[in-house]
Amino acid sequence: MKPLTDAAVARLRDAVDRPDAGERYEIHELLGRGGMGAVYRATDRVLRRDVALKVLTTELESGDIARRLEREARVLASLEHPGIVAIHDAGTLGDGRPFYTMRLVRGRRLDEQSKREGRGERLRRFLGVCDAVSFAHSAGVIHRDLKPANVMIGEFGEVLVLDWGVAKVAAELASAGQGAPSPAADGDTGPGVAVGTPGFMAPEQSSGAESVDGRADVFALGAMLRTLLGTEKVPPPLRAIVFRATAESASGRYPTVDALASDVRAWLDGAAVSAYAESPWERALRFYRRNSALVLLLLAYLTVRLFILWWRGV
Amino acid sequence: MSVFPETRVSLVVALSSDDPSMRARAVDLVVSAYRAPVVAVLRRQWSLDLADAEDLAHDFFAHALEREWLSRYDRTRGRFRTFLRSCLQDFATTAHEAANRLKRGGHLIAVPLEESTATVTEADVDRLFEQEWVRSVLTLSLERLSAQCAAAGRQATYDVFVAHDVEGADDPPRYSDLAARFGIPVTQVANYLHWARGRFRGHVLDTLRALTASDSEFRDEARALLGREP
Amino acid sequence: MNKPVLGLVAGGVLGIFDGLTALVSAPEVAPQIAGIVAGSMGKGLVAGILIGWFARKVNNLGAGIAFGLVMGALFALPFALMPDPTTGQKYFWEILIPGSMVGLIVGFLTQRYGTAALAKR
Repeated sequence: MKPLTDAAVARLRDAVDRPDAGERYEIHELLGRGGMGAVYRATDRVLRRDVALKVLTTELESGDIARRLEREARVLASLEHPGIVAIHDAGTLGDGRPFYTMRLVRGRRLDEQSKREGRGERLRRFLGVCDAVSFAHSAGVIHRDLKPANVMIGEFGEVLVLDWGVAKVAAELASAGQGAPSPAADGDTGPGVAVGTPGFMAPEQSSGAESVDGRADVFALGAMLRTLLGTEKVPPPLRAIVFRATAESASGRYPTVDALASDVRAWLDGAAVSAYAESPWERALRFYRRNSALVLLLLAYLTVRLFILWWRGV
Repeated sequence: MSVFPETRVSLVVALSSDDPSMRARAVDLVVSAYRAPVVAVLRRQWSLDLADAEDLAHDFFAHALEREWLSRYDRTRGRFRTFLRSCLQDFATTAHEAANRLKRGGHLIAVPLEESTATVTEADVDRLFEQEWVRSVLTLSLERLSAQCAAAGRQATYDVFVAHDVEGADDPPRYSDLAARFGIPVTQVANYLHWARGRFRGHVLDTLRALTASDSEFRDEARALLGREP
Repeated sequence: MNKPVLGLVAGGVLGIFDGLTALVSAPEVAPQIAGIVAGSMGKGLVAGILIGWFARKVNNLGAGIAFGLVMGALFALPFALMPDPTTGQKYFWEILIPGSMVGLIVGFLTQRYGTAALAKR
């Protein structure tokens, strides 16, 4: 047999990896690859629309990873929110690999988009992320891998939180902390093993502690906020928000994502931020910025009064 | 004799088996899969021409068998591929030192071994070794597919697959062109490709299984072969 | 706070303040200050509630300010035309201008800070 050319090697590797999604889905190009598997653009021949199809790399990935993909699909299916990518279908390919399809997001990652936008817009996007995560928390789901790369800005400006592959249902975490059977049975890493991304992982997460709750996501959101604010001069109240959200100890952070979002919203509205202790001068300045027209009108009135006083004295 | 074991047997077990035929099959498989990468590394790192590199590769495998290096592989210490690479490095370094001693002693040596004067880093050589290993695995799998198609009377299926995904890798031919060339309906081209790709995938994974010592090593090698960035 | 109530409160408070500032700009009226403050507060309350009612009907900052200015001037005018009963002196501009400005400020406050009424079902 003639030696295979480099082009042939590349093509054959692609042919081996490309999922056989049966008659319903036509597979196109590879969109991305992660620890669990690969995401392809595919066309749903029944509904005649493009979707994103996520599949394991090989059907002989450990059972844990296969179960993790299945659980990711179930988590996504349970979270119906405009900020969480919708799942359309799930199943097993002909070659035995589990897969699921979800909305194909056409847009940019948050970290790429934020380079083109001012601070205000970046903070509003951030509030969109908080909204989605808060909703997930209310449904008992903790993301555990929040970072700018896992957030997309869709073509209509919508914010979408992706990659719920290591998400955890809070009830499972609580039962693990109480000595219940290891969550590894459900396709997760066992206790003592860290999940997440360095730099965005809360300390209790990186140590693999079992007592991980929504405040781990608060930490990640704080780190995300710090990334979005960049190296430009950051106002002290925003710095204080980041500082509080990324506190080493979970008890030192905002108790909920809503509390974090509330402070960011307050800053955007020119209101007081709970994480920051203003000086009287800062408070006065902030009052003036929010009510400059009123302050100027009152000053004008006083000026007129003083003028009349002077005029009568002349 | 088929180079592939009929049942899933750990490579380590097969290499140190008391059954001579099992041992021979395992050795044949290792040589088939690793000969090309060994030759490539010897040529790149030690500036050998093809003939000399092939001779030295032959010597390497002969040494490995004679001294039972392969059966000493300990899967807890890493992948078999990494182990073989380091055996090769030791062998080539020893041969180079021996050649230098002989040269200083004024004797001729069979194969002069000079380290490449071009800037070749260890990472480059490792990358080359892996690339050639991938090529070997895919070639072995293609041979398996060819044998399977021949046995099943599906030569046309194999020919279409090769024409589209191997020979046509740079510029894949249109389905209509393939249909005309092989005298089959256009829809049949898609069916043949679908069938062949599925079987080819199975052969690749079987080859990897045979070349690895454990399930976790198999998964690692499968990811290395398949898990590329787009 | 809804707009009419805000107008009432702001008109009353600013009316009191406006009346008290007479002590500064015209110290000779000190003996009548109680009456001045009461009158100023009264016109502030009435003007304020009218301005607030207007703000509920017309959601436009410019129009609200203009209406406030006019209301302030209208309610200040009778007092501006009235001579001081003791000295007979008129304080026309000293009453009219600040009074109009108070109306302007109440107009701004009701448009900017008043909460709109819920839509009728």
